[in-house]
Amino acid sequence: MKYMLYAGLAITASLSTQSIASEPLAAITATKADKTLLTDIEFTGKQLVAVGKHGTIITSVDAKDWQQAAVPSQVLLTAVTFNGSERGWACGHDATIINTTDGGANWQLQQVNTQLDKPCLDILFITEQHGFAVGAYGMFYETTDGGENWQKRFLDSLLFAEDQEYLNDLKDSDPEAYEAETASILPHFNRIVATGNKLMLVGEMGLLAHSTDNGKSWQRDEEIYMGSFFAYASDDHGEEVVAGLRGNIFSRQQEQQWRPINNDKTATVNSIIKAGENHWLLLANSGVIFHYINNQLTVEQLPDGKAILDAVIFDNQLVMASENGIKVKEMAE
Amino acid sequence: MHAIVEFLEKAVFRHRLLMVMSFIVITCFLGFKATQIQLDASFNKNIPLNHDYMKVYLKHEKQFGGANSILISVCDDSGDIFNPEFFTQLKAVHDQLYFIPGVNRPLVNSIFAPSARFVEVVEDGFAGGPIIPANFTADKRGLAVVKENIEKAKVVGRMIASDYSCAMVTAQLMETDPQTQEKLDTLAFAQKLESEIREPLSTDKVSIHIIGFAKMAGDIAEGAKGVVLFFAIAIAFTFVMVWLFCGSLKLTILPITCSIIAVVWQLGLLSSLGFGLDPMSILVPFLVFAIGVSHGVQMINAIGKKVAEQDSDTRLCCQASFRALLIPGGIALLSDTVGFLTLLTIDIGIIRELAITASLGVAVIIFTNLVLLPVWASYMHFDSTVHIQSGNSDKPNMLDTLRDLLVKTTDPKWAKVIIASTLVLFALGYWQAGKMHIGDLHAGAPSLHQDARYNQDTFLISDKYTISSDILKVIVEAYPAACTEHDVMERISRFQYKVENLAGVQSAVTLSSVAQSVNAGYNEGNLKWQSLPRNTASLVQSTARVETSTGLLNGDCSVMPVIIFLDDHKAQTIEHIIASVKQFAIEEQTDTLHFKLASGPVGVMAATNESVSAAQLPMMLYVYGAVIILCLISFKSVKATIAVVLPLYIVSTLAQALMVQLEIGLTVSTLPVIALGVGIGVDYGIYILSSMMGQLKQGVALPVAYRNALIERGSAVLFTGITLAIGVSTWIFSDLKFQVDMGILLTFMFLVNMLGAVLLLPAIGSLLWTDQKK
Repeated sequence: MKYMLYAGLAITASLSTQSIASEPLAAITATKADKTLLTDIEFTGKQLVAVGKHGTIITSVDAKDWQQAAVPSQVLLTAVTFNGSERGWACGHDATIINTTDGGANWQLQQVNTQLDKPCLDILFITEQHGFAVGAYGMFYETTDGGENWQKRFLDSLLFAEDQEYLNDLKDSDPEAYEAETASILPHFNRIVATGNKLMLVGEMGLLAHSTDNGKSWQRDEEIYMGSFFAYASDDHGEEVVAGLRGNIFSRQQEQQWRPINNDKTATVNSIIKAGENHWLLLANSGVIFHYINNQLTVEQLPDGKAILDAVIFDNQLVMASENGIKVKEMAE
Repeated sequence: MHAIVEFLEKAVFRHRLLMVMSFIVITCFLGFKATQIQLDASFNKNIPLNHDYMKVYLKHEKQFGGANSILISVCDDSGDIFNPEFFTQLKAVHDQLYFIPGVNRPLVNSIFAPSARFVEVVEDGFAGGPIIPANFTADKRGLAVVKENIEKAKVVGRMIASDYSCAMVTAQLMETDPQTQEKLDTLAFAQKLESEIREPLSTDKVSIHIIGFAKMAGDIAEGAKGVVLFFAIAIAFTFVMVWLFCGSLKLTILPITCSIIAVVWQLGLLSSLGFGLDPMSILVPFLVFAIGVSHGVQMINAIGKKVAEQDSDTRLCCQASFRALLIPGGIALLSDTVGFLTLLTIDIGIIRELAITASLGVAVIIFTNLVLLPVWASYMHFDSTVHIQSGNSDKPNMLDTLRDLLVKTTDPKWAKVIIASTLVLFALGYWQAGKMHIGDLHAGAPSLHQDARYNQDTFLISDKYTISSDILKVIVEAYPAACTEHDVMERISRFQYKVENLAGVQSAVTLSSVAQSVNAGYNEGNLKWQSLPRNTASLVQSTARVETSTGLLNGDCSVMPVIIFLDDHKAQTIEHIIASVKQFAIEEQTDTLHFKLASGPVGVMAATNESVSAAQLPMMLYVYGAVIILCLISFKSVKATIAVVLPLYIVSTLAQALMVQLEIGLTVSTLPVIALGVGIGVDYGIYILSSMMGQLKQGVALPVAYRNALIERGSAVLFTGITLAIGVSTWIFSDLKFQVDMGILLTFMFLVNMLGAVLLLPAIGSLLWTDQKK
């Protein structure tokens, strides 16, 4: 139902698009940059880098003082990734992709497409040169030259069988309609993660997919949930955790059956990080942190109730990217 | 000039009976009118209606509410609102407030308001409903549901205290009733808040805290009633002092009664002209009394001296005193009157009212104390016990010693010492006065004491809720359906972001920011979508859910306010935020999209502060201009004018420095004090100098002329200054902080102006009239 709604909307959207093509404005230097909505945070090995609203990128070496980076965009940035401590990429709305070669202080524009009106939602580099940027309605870009050139791909292997047939028909009979449909027929790709031996892609409508050939081909996993997944993580021991809308969490060992984790707190999980041996932290909306320790789930509620989008563990502290900026909490040991 | 005085003297004293009779008739009539005068406060009177900001404010007041709001925080003493009794009381407060006339009903807001809804994201889209369900019963289960809805609706910190111990009901007041076209009676409204909400609905467990302009005005009016007692004390004290001064009960009755008649006339005239008395102007009648006493004492001093000297016909003595004092007294009072009238140029209702109140009051003193008093006195018979110092007494007494000391000020050596130390004082004062801040310097209502109920309630509310009541609204004016365009919404978003990053800004909300949240909501509550969709269809979808009752848009979204929550409303905070906001407005505007300042309580304050600041210099120029011109006309001497005006200016600078020290900001209510100070001070100098001028023109040496002036009028000046200063100093015990401040300022002005006239004036004179030193 919702899928049809989106499809319909996207069609009207593509008909009534009227965006202004011009050089994007650089991010405003803000005194409260660390208090704005932040969507993703990384530790580069040298410093912390967080990205968020209004083209905000902030860096810190101590999680206390934050410096705002020079960013050539004002869009809501949704993801950041680093390969080594100097080379990094971030992406966001309008399919914006920017990169840095100086550890996060200065950023350059690699791609922007205001006509598309779709956000990139996650970005990943598996080598210095080879990277992926994924996002709304099956947005999938790939680069093999560090982001100099980004190629758009349409992952039709992730379509349901009937959709695939429908599209094949359309391709020949009505190429225009085919173009329009491919722009919106795939679900949102919310997160792309590299594990030891494969790439994982999770997203809308219970999308779980993997690639064992560095992203060349993608296979859809068996459906375990019809809502959206936003977060996925795995560890060296072959344990995987995937989570999403309204506190739906699943885990599995060694590629066995996914097992739902009993949970009656309905906060949507945005991100999963590993906090220690058998200790997963699931960062969620409404200020909720789920602790999944030794197969037991406990709920921690932060008082201000603001959504937590991501976090890293740094210096025995949990440094969080939240709805109202950076939050730091001592890790209880 | 002399011809006029002579003519007036003949006219007045030839028809003495007629004069007295007409005074009695007028006093009876105005006295009756005066009993009808009412305390009257109105919000719009306090704001500069023609200021650019206020034009924007008035234009959008009906749609988006004004700045005249009432906040009622209902608190549960147990610290937890989720119990049946609390919800009963909260609903009762909401309903009662809704029905009080003057309230803009659609804008009454609390969790019981129909617009108080929550929205949540579920697997198949949105779910939502009213915070208080239709089938709500205040049992354990019902309350649990409400608690959950409150959290989902994100009203904690706004409608519900951050610690869940209180809930808020807010309303906007309308200046005129749309149905009856009747003007809102602010003070009656304030009483209703007490009698229909606080009194009946407070219980042992549930307390009610009310703030807002109407409540503040009501509390000030309540406190102002106590002012009458202080007036009585001051009048009684003055009476006793005058009696001691002149030694005659008859003579004492004259200035006191005539000054009271002046106050009666003033109040009667005000009432006849259709004005009320604003709580903030409540001190003006006392000032009229004080100025009246000052002139009255000069008059009885003159009469008493003449009677003692000549022992001749009382009528001739009175006539002579009238002749001698009409010019200096008249000039002093006229310059006061003109000075106060210049306040009319300031485009703020309450200051204009004060201008009329004060100038009327001072003008009537000319009749009551310069005309009625000598005429009335001429009917009296004074025995020889009148012991006003004639200056010729044989035995030297304290006054003589003091007089000798004062005359030394004309000695160049002493004059230089006095002038040098005055300059040092002036430099210090000028430096301090430069630090004068425009606007309120403290949170809450500065006219009330910190521990007053109103201020305690203010502190409680700012403590319990995260969203402050210090709200600035910038009104975005565009064109119909502007909110369907990405560029418009993005400019608003960028403007909001810039504003949010200013120091002193807590947060801001716009249609754009809400649309972004709704967009995230449409995308399963994923905040990575908290952005403006570029295509019109999705953008419309995001804004369509936002109701006009949020105050974020009008019906066709051609007008969209930016609501900015500030840390406080201190003058500096407002000043720097307004300056930046103006800059941002220019950066983000287009030909069809304008960011217009300003509405909300802080918008009104900003406009008022700007008007007060702009009015300060012209007001001073006008007031001093009036004094200077009248001095030039009456003395026909530049030197004399300088000798009168210079001490006056120095004292008013020092008074401003004192205001800085007392942390009194320059506001609508304190601005006129500076003008009033000039009015109080000018009497002394003019009386002393007018006595000296006649002699100086005949070539009498300055010290001699000054000594004679002191003999003639000095004791009256000293006496009045000290008496009035002591009288007003009792105001320190007032319930109104405003009266306490004014008491301190007026005590200072009475005393220091008097010192200026007897110390500085002759010292300056010794520099001006160098050839007449010996």
